Amino acid sequence: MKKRPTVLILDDDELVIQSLGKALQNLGYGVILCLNPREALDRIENSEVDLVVSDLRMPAMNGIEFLEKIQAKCPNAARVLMIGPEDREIAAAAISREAADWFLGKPWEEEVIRLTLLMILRLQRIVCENRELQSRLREQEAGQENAFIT
Amino acid sequence: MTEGTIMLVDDEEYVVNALKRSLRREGYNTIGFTDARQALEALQTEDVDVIISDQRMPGMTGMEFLIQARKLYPNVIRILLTGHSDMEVAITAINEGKLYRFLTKPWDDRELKITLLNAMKLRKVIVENKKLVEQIQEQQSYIQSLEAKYPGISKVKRDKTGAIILEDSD
Repeated sequence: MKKRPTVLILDDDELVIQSLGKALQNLGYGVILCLNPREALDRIENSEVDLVVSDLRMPAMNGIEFLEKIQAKCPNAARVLMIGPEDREIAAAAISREAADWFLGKPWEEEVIRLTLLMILRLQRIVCENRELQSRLREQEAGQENAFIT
Repeated sequence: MTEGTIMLVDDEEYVVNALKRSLRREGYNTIGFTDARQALEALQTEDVDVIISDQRMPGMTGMEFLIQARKLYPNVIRILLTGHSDMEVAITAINEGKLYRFLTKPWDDRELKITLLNAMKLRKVIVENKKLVEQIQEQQSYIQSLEAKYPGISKVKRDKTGAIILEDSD
């Protein structure tokens, strides 16, 4: 059985990270809470994060920029943009160009979060499986070449 | 550019048509049905990536239809259209892995678009993984057949410079 998935939550509003963190802990996730993007980028270096949830509007860096940095640093992590109702259009555009995988509206319902994370992590698991299969095939091919070159 | 074929099933034709319009704008192929049984038949000949089905239909519920479709084609991504009163059915099905996601009526076009983007991505990777497993198995059986003919051939030992080390068998 794999360890429970870890979610990094970034928002400049402490209330938001606390309450979302609590909701995710209730659902069985491990959580890392961050108030600023720099701290989050540092912390992701040293931890195995499966999913990153970031607010869109933050003073230091916007959430899309942040998630793009996450992808470069940690391509296996799934990315969710947290938005207010007025930013759905922005979120849809960001997801279309693959800057994020999904969005979460504020305020959230726990059941919506649960289903959204379940769905995202299913996709992520299959994507990881894909990478493993590709590298297994490459190894096998390399082994075969190695054996037959004279 | 998006691509892929989406099957739309709802007993109300205007719903099928509205979905068609939205999804065609995104560049998908669509096939629509107002009868779940006809849709099941069509699955035998059509190459479908994603199915979106309404839950409340006469004769067969959306979930019944999607479970039958899953038996025939387990890799097709399944999405249920529900009213708020049927959400429990959808949630149970998602928990059991029978359903990818549900959309509530009336749906939000942006959510529909994002759901489909992710559904197509999932479908693509599932199909690719299946192919990779086949390739790996093919290669393994090829190596095994060679190994049976020429024992030791797949395990050539090399030294640090890459030269092959030959060992006497005695």
